[in-house]
This record gives sequence, structure tokens and C-alpha cells, in this order.
Amino acid sequence: MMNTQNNIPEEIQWQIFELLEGNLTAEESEKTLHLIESNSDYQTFYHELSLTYLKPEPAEYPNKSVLLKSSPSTFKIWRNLSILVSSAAAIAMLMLYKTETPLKTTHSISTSPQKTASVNHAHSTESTVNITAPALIKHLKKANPETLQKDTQPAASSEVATQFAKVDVPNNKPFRVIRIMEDPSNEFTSPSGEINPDNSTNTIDPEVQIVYTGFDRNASDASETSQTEFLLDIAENLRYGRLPKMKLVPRRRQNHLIPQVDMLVGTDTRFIQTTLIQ
Amino acid sequence: MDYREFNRIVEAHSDALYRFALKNIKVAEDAQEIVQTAFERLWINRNTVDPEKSKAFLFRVAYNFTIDMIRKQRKEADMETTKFKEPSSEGADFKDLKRVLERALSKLSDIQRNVILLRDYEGYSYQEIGDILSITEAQVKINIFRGRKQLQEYLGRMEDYL
Repeated sequence: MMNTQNNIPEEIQWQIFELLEGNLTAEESEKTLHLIESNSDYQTFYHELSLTYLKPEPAEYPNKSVLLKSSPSTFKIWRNLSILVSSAAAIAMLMLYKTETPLKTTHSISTSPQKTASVNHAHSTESTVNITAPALIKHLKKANPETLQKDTQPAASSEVATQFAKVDVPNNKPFRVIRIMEDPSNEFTSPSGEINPDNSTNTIDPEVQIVYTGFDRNASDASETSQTEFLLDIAENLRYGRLPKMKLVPRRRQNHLIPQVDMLVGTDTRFIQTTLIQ
Repeated sequence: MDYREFNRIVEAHSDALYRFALKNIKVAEDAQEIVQTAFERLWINRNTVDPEKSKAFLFRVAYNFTIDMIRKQRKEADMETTKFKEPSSEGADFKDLKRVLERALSKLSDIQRNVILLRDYEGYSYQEIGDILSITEAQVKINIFRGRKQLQEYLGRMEDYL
């Protein structure tokens, strides 16, 4: 084998290159092949150039498992939240049995057609997202149609005040406070100045309240879930029969959006079922 | 892009990216670092990178990181690798075409080596290669042509010694 390209005009070299690259039409390829056959230098150049095409070799990146991401950190919090809510529901049901209150075991779902979701996407440091029950339920039915059953009870959701623990909802009774927070002493300040039940200064019997910060100190993906998704995730996980109002207050901390939800659930809700997000 | 999509991309492209880095840098640990860096950048930019273009993004990051690493190595070793030297008796060490070709490949300029790697290993079009390396399609083509000619020349020379 010898180098022949010095004897070959550059335009012929280009033509042979184009042939090998697959850039020529069938007709052009045929012409070029005839040209190559007519000259031994061309043949040698063609052969040598064809050897420069690399064949893919198998390679396996050894640390693939390190690259793979596990589910968002919210999963762990959700798991704990679900356990707590389930426990709360069980306790509440026991209490209701003791007081001989009729217990409904199906969801009480608002079916008010007038209520629609009103979502204000918050990009500022503080804003509010209100999603009324029908919108959530619509989403829930879409996500898990077999697990939801409609109740014909009329909705009272919009009539319930947003400030938790200060509302006297008919037929409601104190329920239980559940709060999952990363740092109870520093993290939460209620957006409307309500008392933080975790600080043990709240003397008012609350409704069911779940305050969830959705933030993990070790994770950087707190901002991953959009606010709407966050709300819908809650709705999907905590299949409340009735969600009068949810309020989402995003906060910024270390440049991460911290979703924070105050949920007020009327005690017409007798059954709370939780499901973990996979 | 959520974590599931990201993991799918890891499964789909990490091996190819590792091969690309390894062919460039030759040191397994460095190649692994390049792959890790590329995927870290992808995760950081997951909200802005279109998953469909994630492969190009990864290769672009890997290429830039590779070039930085090679330059640093060259500076440290004070080596000049972009010019061909006349083959010496070292040619007798090459037992087969593959090794000769790898040797020749390492002697190409960074840009020529990378256009050929992306073209042959990943099957990218000229335009896709241009997007990754931030050069025009015409520049891609001419670099492939020149790179192949240099490989062909080197192969011819080495053949004389074998």
C-alpha cells in the first residue's frame, strides 16, 4: 500500500470521498465507480480512504447507577404524610363511632357545576392559588375514575372561609392537625398571620389541616413541581371527598420555590384514603 | 424533563457518551468524569433542554469539557500532538489496522478527530455535528474530508512498516 493522493486531483479525491460518505445519487455513484475502476491510483486511494471509517465499538459506562435519579424527594414526605393522614382518619373515625355520629364511608364530593378552577400561577415570592373542589375532583376522576364515587350532597365549599381554625362549619367538629415541615421553628409563617399550630400557641380547635412545605434540605428539586401539579398531586394522594379550599403559598428560600399548602377539610369528610405516588 | 425522562436519557446515551469521551481522552477515569459532568449539566438545565435534543446537548458539553481537558493535559505535558511525525520504528508495534487507526486518530486535530467520531460512531449528520461543535455544516464536511485524508495517509505510511 502506498500513498497515492498526491497523484490524484483534489476534485477526484472529493468525488471519492463523497461516494464513501454516501452523498452521491445512484447515477453519480455509478459514474464515480467507473472512474475509480479506470485508474489504479484511484482504486488505491478509494481502498485506503474506505479503511478510515471507524466501526462502532461497544462501550459501557460503568457508573450508570450513580447518574440515575430517584424519585423526587417529595415522595418520602408524601409517604410520611400519607401514613399520618391515614392514622388521623382512623382516629377520627373511631371518635365518630364513639359519639354515635352517622359515618359515611364514601366520598362526599361537591358537584357544583358553577365552580371552576381559578389558578394564578405564582412567579412572585407570594401568591395564591385557589382550586375549588369540582376542578380537583374532575382531575381526580380523570386520574382514578374507579376510586371515586359521586355523592349527591350539595357543595358548601365556597362558603367556607379560607382562614383555618376560625371557621364554624355546620356539622363540623375539631379534627386533627397534621403538619409536616422541614423546620417547624423557622419555616412556617402563615400567610394571613394565623397562628402556627406547631408552635403550641393555637388555642382554637382546628379543622383538618395539612401544611406541607415540600422541601427537602438535601434536595435541589423543590422547585421541580409546579404549583398546579403540586395541588393536583395532593388531591390525587389524599382523596378527600370534600376539599372546600386549598391555598398555596409559594415561598422562596435559597432560591427554591417552597410550595406550602393550607388545606381546610370539613368534617363531612368521613373517609380519607391515601395513596402513595409511585 | 422529569427524573424519569432523565433516567431514560441516561440509559439511552451514557454508553455512547462514554465511548466518545474515552476515544478522545484515552483515560477511563477522565472519560467517566466527562460523562458525569455532562449529565449533571443536563440535570441542571432540565427545564430548558428539549429531551429530543438532549443527546446533542450531552455531546456538546462532553466535547467542550474534553477539549478543555486535552488542552490542560497538553499544557502540562508540553506535548504537541496535532502534527504528524514521520513514522519511526514504532510502527512495528502496530499489529492490526484498528490499532493503527486509533493511533492515527489521536494524531488528528481535535476538531477533525471529533467530527469523525461523531460521524462514524454516532451517525450524526453534518448539520447535527455542526450544532454540537458550533461550526458550520461546510466546516464539518471539510474537516471530515481532511481528517480522513490524514488517516489515509498515515495508514499508508504505517503499511510500509508492517
